[in-house]
Amino acid sequence: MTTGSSALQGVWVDVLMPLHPDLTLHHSKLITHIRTLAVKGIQGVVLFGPAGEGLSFSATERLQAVKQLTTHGVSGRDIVLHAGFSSVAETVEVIRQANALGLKGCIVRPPRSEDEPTQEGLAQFFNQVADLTRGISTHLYLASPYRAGAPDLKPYVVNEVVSKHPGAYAGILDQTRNASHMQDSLRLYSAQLPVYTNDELQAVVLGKLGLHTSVSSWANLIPSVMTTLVSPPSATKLSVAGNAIGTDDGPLLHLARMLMGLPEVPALKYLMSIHYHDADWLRVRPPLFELLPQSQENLLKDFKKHFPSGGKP
Amino acid sequence: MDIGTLWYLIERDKLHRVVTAEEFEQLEPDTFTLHQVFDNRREALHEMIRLVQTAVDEVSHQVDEKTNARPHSK
Repeated sequence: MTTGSSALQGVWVDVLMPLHPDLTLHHSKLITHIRTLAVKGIQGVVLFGPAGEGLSFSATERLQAVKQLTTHGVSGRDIVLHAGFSSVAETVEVIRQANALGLKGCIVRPPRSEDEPTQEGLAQFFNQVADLTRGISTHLYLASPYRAGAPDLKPYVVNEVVSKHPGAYAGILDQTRNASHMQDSLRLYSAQLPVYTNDELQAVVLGKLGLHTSVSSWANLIPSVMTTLVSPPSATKLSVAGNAIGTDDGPLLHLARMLMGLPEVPALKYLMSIHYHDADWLRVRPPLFELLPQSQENLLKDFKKHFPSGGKP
Repeated sequence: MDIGTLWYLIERDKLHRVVTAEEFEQLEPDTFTLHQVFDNRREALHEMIRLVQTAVDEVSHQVDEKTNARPHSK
């Protein structure tokens, strides 16, 4: 169970969203999935991130999902909610409601804009959010966008926000899945704020540097593998020879190769549908689309080859 | 994560079973596969029935395929 600390520790799963045939969120399957992940050792969940098709869910839908989870026994301290919207008002409203529901944190990313946003404008966005949510106990995390082309978090923005609102933001989540970008984030910001990544391979590398956190979409499928790889050495099992068991990141490299060139969310959801024997998990919201049959077949063949036990370490 | 009282749907010796948290803790590691975790027994049993039905359907489908593939003797 997590503590009241603002730091994220362990594996936080960027949760895939099961959908009804009308593409509304399947709350009971989501709750069951999260319970199952919890038993498999994850630390918490990140809702409506890239894997959770966040951009296709409204504020109302996101908050409704959180209410369902907390009503069914999932602690708000184990939930971080993506609260990234293009308007300050909507972002602030979601953060306030998340705070009222006792959530551990909210992730705020640069807003989407029809025009090219300036660094000053981006800083103003995050400053306004900090101003209007002053005094809440839910922690705020800055996030880089997860696709190239959207406005990035630049040093000017982060420095401006951190200097004007020290303590308002509790960390930075690098969502680029780009090793050089992550290295830049660490170099530029780690003295001011903890830096997290949603790239599983980079999280394992950071684990070796003593940073034991991963925001992971792959943990939907292989929670035990991720937990073992991200845990500090004292928490891992040792062989008779004294070597850590299950700390080989080979399985992640295999999964990275399997997913290369495929749309990640439909691919992961396809594997979840196989894992749970449940075709409901195949559904994705537009503009995403289910994997084509040939891609499904190839992916399944590779997954069974490299994860014969279905994702155990 | 703390998630309260749970019911565990597992597969052991090729059979699905719903067990309580106490029973689950007494299971030997690597002797079973954890399928899913539910907050009540009814939902867990419902899912177990669905899984069994799915497995039966898959076997029936495979049998049908093999039967259809067999050359017809006159």
